[in-house]
Amino acid sequence: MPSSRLLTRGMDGREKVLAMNTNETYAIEKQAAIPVCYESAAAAWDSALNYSGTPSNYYGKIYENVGWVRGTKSTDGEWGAYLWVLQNKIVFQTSTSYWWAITNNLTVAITNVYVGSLGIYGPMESNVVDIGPEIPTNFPGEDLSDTGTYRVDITNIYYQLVIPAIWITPRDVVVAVGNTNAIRFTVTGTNLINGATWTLEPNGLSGGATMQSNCWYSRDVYPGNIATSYTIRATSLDNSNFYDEVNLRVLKIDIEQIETNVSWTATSVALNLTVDSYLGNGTANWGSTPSGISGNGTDITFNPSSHTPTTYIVRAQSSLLTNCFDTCTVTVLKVESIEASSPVADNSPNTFEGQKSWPFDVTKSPTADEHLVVFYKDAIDSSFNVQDFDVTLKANILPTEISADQFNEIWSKISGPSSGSLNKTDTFEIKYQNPKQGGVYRFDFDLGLSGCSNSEANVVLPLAGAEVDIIVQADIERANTFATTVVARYTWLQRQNPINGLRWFVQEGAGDYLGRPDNESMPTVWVYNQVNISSSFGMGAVGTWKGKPVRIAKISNFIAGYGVRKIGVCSVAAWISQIYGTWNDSAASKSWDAGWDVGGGASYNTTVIALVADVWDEADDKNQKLWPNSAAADNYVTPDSFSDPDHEFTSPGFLYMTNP
Amino acid sequence: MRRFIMLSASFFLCALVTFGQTNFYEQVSQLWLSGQKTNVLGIAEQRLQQNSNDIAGLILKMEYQIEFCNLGDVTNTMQNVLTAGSEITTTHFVALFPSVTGSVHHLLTMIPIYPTNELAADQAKGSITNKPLSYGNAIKALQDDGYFQ
Repeated sequence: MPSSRLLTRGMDGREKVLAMNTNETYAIEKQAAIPVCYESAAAAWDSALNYSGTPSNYYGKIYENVGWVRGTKSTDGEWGAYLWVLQNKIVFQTSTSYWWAITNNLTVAITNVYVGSLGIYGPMESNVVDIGPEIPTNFPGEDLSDTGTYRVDITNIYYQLVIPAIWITPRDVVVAVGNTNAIRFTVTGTNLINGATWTLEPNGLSGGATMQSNCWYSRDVYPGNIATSYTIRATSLDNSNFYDEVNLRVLKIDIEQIETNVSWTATSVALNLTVDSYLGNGTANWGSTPSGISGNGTDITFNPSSHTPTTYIVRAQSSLLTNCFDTCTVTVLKVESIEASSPVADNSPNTFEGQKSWPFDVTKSPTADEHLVVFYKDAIDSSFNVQDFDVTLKANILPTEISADQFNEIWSKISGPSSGSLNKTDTFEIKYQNPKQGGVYRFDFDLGLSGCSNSEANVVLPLAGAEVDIIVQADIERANTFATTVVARYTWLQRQNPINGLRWFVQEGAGDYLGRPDNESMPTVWVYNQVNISSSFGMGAVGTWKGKPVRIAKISNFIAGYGVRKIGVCSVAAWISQIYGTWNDSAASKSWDAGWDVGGGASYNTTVIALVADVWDEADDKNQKLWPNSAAADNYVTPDSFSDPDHEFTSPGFLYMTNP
Repeated sequence: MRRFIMLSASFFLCALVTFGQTNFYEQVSQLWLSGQKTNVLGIAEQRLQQNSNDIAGLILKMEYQIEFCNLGDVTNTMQNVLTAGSEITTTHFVALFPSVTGSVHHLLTMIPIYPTNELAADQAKGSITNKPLSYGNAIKALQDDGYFQ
């Protein structure tokens, strides 16, 4: 309700006129009373007051200068007094209505009527009688007199009005969509004598807010399920221009994403409200548990890589209404690592950081690229049969409670020999089973999540140097040519001379295979098959000979033994030649002997096949680690052009001596 | 022409034996490679005439006798090489001498079993050119030790 009132007189250009009862309105004159011969002035005055003579009434007259004259007087020791009075008697009605019409035909209530000099009266008071002025009855004093003259004002008439008002409460209501509790709106105010009508806009929305009637001054509104702003209006039945409006904002916070998985490597992820969300004039404040995702508005973005991989409960809440909110689940996922393990691996388990590429360069040595390694010696039985074994590949994903069922993860082999197989591809942990061939096996794990880069792992079954059998067989022919030349030019005794033997088969690499046999398609792995590039230049590599990994030095022993026999060195001299210089180990002696035997007519294939199997058992660790390489060496060069042991492979120099 | 060569060789031999040489090894190696093995023997014998224990002369003489399968004399020469060589104390030769010793000892064991059926053919191989001195390294070691200055 308004707290103040409007006092108006002619504010609308219309004078207020007092409704006079002219039949009862007249001037009254009381004749002067002059009592004399009283003992005192007071007695004479009391007598004058008590005089009740018939007054003279002048109907229809209202005089402007009414009043009185009075006094006391002493004469000869006696006292007299006098009193004359002229009064107006005014009879009127304060107003003809309780209402006063202001603009737009709006009537407002009159609470009081201010009637000129007469006083303040209520509206619609009729037959109000005012007679005045009043005659002063107090004793005027001895030998004193006074007069009173009064002017009546009945033209300045004011209505005191109630300020027009209509007021709906509550004023501005904010509720969440789906709220089933009714909001009661009540209208109060002036000009509602006949009540009010109510409207709701927009009205008739399917599932939207509805209004129910209680009584004329109130309505119950059910917010419904449509998020929007409604206008509720109450209009006076007395005047359609007299109304009030309030708002009902039905808010809705609805996050588009319900359960979202995002990659830890993604740089920006957006969360947003659905198009049918409604924030009123407020906003949505976003937060999360645990903390980290925040913002405000209809959409936010965040950078997952700066967040701990875990599940976040994200909440978007209206700034206007605390119980209007929605939540969603955002899981920041990280493939923490790929763990490769095998009971036969040398460095099991080996962990590869997730979501990055792990290329494997076979030439890196002595620090190799990351890999799990399975050595040949650990995978075969005594008959060189590669046993079945598994390599377990496990994707470690954060948060750990994530289930593989939630993703379309895929394991695949990036590259490697066509040997072995994956037991499955669609879970976090799989097995690569039963590879039988040496090589570099590279694996890929795709979590199946957009923006989540793939992870990799390498399993290396390190190949020995390439197969040299073809080269050795060609060298047999070269050795035959060499021997023919030597026999033709040197005496039997000269051929027995260790000094000459050194020159033909030892000095300056004349008797050594040098470098590392290799094949571009099936390369050996340098870190496990290093070759000397300073002292003992070009020595130390392991190649494959007749299907078995073997130190190149053993092939040198073989071809030297063959050549020595072919030039007709007697067996005693040959034996001495072996120990002349560096002492041969058992495998070297066996290799020499095999060459000697082949030089004497034994079958090359039979002898060598037996030799490589025999010497493998007593080969050093380096030799036994490496897997047989079935590809023929494709990096062969002649001894005179040999310069790079890492990339080239060559035969003993004596095989190319044209003038031994 | 032949006389000229012989005169030249005599002069050359005289120069090699008489004067100090800083390229003795290169000169005898070249003579050997070119097939002038008799001249090399001549140099050896002249040195031995001046000093019967001259190790260079003994080694070259042994080289010649092995080359031409003079098995009757080479054994004695080999023994002389072992004896005279053991007296040499200069650095390079001392380092190399064990290989010479090993070689000589080995050949001494081989000579008794020389296949006689190959002897005639082997003697003919002595005239083949472009074969290096088997014991050239020993001569080189002596030169490096200043033996010929």
